[in-house]
Amino acid sequence: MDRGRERAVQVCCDESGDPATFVMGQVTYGPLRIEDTWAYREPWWQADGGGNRQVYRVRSKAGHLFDLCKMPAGDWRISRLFD
Amino acid sequence: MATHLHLHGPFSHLDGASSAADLAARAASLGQQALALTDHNSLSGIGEFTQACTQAGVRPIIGAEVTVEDATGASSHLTLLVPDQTGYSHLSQLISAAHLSRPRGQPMASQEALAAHAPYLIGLSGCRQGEVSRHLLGGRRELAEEAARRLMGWFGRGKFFLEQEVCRLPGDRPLQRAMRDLGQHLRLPRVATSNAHYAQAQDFWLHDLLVCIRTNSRVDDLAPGRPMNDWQFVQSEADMARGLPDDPAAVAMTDRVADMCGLALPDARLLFPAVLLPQGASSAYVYLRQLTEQGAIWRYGQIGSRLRQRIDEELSVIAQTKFTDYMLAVAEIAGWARGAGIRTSGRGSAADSVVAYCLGLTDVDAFARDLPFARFLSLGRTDPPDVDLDFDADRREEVAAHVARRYGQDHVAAVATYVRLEGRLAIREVGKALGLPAAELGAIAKRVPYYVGADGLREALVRVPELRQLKLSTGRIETLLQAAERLADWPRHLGTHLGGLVVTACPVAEVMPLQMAAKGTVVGQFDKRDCETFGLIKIDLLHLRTLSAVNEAITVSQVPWETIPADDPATFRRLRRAETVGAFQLESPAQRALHRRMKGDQLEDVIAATALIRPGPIKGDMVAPFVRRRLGKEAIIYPAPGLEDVLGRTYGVVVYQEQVLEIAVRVAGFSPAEADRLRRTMSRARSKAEMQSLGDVFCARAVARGVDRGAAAEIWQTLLGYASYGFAEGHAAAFGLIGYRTLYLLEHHSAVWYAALLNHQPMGYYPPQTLVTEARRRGIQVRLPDVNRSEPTWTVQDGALSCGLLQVRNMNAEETDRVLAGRPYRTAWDLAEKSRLQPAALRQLVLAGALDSLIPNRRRALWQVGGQAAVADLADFTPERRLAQEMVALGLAVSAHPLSCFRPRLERAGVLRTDQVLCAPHRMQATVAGALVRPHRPPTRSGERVVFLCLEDERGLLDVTVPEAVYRQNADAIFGPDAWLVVVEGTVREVGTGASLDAQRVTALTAYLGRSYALQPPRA
Repeated sequence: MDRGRERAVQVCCDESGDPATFVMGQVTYGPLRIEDTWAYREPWWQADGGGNRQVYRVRSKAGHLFDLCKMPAGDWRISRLFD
Repeated sequence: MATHLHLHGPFSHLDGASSAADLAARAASLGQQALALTDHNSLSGIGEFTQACTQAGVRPIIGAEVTVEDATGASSHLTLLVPDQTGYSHLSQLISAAHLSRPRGQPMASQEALAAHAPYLIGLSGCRQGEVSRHLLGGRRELAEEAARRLMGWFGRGKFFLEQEVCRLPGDRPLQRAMRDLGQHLRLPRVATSNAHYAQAQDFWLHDLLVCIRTNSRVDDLAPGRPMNDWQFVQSEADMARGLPDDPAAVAMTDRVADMCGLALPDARLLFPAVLLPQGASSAYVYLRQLTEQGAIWRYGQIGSRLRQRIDEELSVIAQTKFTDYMLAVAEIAGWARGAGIRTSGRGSAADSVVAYCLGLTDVDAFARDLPFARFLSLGRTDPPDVDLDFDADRREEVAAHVARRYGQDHVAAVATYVRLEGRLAIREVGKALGLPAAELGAIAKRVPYYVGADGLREALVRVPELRQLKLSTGRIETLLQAAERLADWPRHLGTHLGGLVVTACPVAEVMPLQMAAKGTVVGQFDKRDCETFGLIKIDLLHLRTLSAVNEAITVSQVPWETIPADDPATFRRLRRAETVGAFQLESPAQRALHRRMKGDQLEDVIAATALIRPGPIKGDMVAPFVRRRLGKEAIIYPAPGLEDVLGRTYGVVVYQEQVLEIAVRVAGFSPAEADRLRRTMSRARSKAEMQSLGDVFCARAVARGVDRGAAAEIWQTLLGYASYGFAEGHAAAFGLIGYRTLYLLEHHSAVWYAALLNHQPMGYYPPQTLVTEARRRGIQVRLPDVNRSEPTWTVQDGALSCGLLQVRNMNAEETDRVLAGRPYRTAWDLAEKSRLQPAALRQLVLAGALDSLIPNRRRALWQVGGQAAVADLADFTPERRLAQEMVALGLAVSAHPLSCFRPRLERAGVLRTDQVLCAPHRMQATVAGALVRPHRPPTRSGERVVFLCLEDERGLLDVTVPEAVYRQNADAIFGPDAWLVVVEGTVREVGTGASLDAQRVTALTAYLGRSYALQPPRA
């Protein structure tokens, strides 16, 4: 799989706003277990530097690890993929 | 509601981005009942924090994040909270131990110290830099458990908690789970924190910027230690719970821990040490009375009934307010200093006390002057009295050492002062962090007036002419201004108060944390205001360079200082001519202008003048009426009937603080303590609303006593004019007396006095260059240093003022001694061989003219000290070049004034000398050249930005006023980075017996001449 490249992805969230499943290509991954989550602030001193990226490190049912990233605009990306 | 137990404020020094008020307001807005402050190794912020919390209705909890030694000797963090008064004392001692046992700036408490103090504190295991968290993050579960067990053992079960950080950082969830599991395993409760560094998420950028300043990095850099996200704020309970889903009990635990913490502040009110009494004295009060009566006999010869009554009243108030030991302590210090031959002089409101006068603390006879004791101390006052003792600056440290010896090193500490972020510092530090070009920042900072605060920069860029002319890069300048506005007056780092020493009965560290100051002395973490708040008694041992100069001058001249005649006609003639440059407190342009008009002929005039040139009387427009009334040109009127004896000595004008107090008592029926509170509030009040409210109280109480409402309002307006700042009469009398006596020395022993002044720089209003010029103008020969004749310092030789060898660049005491030991010298070779000076020092001696008596041609001398014979017909440097080199070598021009190099050309152009302008007719158009001396833009009553400066040339000084319009046009010539020699065109204005110039144009001399020159401004 690709490493280090961000890719847009469709994510479904549960009531608390945490990712529950996501769709990549033709495959739906889930239910997801959140292993860790953290925020990363965009560079505030730059013109487009508003908001946080919220990163979720999730494990799929099959045991694969993914980093799902919710961008400040609300869209989702997979920022890093693990085998 | 959750309570934040780990919070950093401004006193975490560049690691806390919200004010105490904003933090408390945020907690209150979330409905949180309590809030803890845990600055890094510091309790400096607890005064502001407690006040802010109280105002916001939030219960303050005191604590600190302390750096401690872990099992391996490395540093780790612990969050410590204070349960009670005893706990406070232990936290203060632990922080002191952390600072004092380690190199400055690297505090770390040893394990032994932590073990000793932990039983009295509540401990949280700390942030990710805590020992437990660090091991868990590193996967070292066993070490984490061992650390937790050790800490639990020290703090005791129920008083140690594992800290669950909720900061949304990578690894948070695994760490939280591991911490939960460890806690369950050890049956240790967990407590949630957000390790908050600012009030709200939107303040994150400011915290990041502060971290950049602290770590000397730029916002564009990736630097370790910079915050990754904006979650370290005072979070709501819901946010905390969302960030800690695996251990919800830890959030609830915050309130239970908060309930364990009571408010515990230092209370040192009764902690001033009891003075050791001599045999026969049954109590401190009896001893103080005995000393006072002995002093009264010394001062007055006998004690009459009125004097006895006054002394009794003062002693009674001193005893009732529990300051007997304090008075004895300061009397002992002053007495010890006098016994050791250290010149001392008291000032401040202590000069309003007859007891202080009898104890030898001041030289102002408060009884003869009928000064109100209430200005110094009164029943009902909660703040401690101020005895400001000035000592010979050269020996002040000896006095401080005596105090430490007498009370014990552990019982004495210097008071802190905080260097705060003002305009210039904000430009440099914030601008650098934002990555703005250094040249641009330098250009702005050099032009920002010293009085502009960080929150005044935006206005200054628009209104200050020399700033308005700058071309600034846009974009980040706006960010800089926003940051500066938020960070105005932010504490940057801890400094040491000039003279304040705290003395306590118990070791100081039990009430105030201690650390090392940059100069190697122990300093407490509370500033003057906090010391006052917490009841710590401060003794002010100040240093006054003037006293050092006095000591030197009277030793040389053998003038009996204490018995200098107070009515010397020649001294008063000098005062009326306003030839006062070099006289303490009487030399500024405003003082000189006043004396030209006032025509003073008695010591009382000098005292009044000292108090008149202050912001209060100036803004209150009291100077001109005072002068007119004194000269009989205006009728003396009083603001209200019955104030004749209060204001009679000052012709009906409010000049002194005591008069404000007395008017409040007489007109509005205030008690002495209430009147003093009014004075203090008036001097601190910032807003119009606050002043209005004070005025309403004053008028209402005056009307209630039968004063007409209109008259009461008029009197209030009179006092209001005085509000900004003025002198106490006792203080003015103390300073006025020193000022008069230095003027006497200036009149009768001028060369000796100038030498003394030059040996104790920096001091006074004028730079050394002006003193040298003034000496020469008065006909005193000023000599260059001479390797065969000069002493190390400035001296008087054959009536001439002789420059000392230490004035020469690269010459230190040891090299000077070698020069003196090898005398006499016949040639430059001789000097080089016998003195074994470094080539750089020899070269500077040549350029300073110190070898002129051996070899007048300095170019040849340079060859000779280099060990080479010069070619026979080698021409000397040009006069301008010689003077330029001399100024570099000495830091000032001694052989001639810099303007003399340009005089022929200036004369041809019709440019006048300052002495010609001084006797020119009123309104004459004149052009004059000179060096700028202290151009400044003081606040004026009209709000107009007027520049006042002195022009100095070979013949003396000329005061120049630059109106705002002219200033705007010529700002860079006056305040630019290279501003020095200028040509001023303007109109002569007569001032009393002298004249000043109203400028119409100010031009840099280089621009006027159309050429550059080799001369550089004096160093000093």
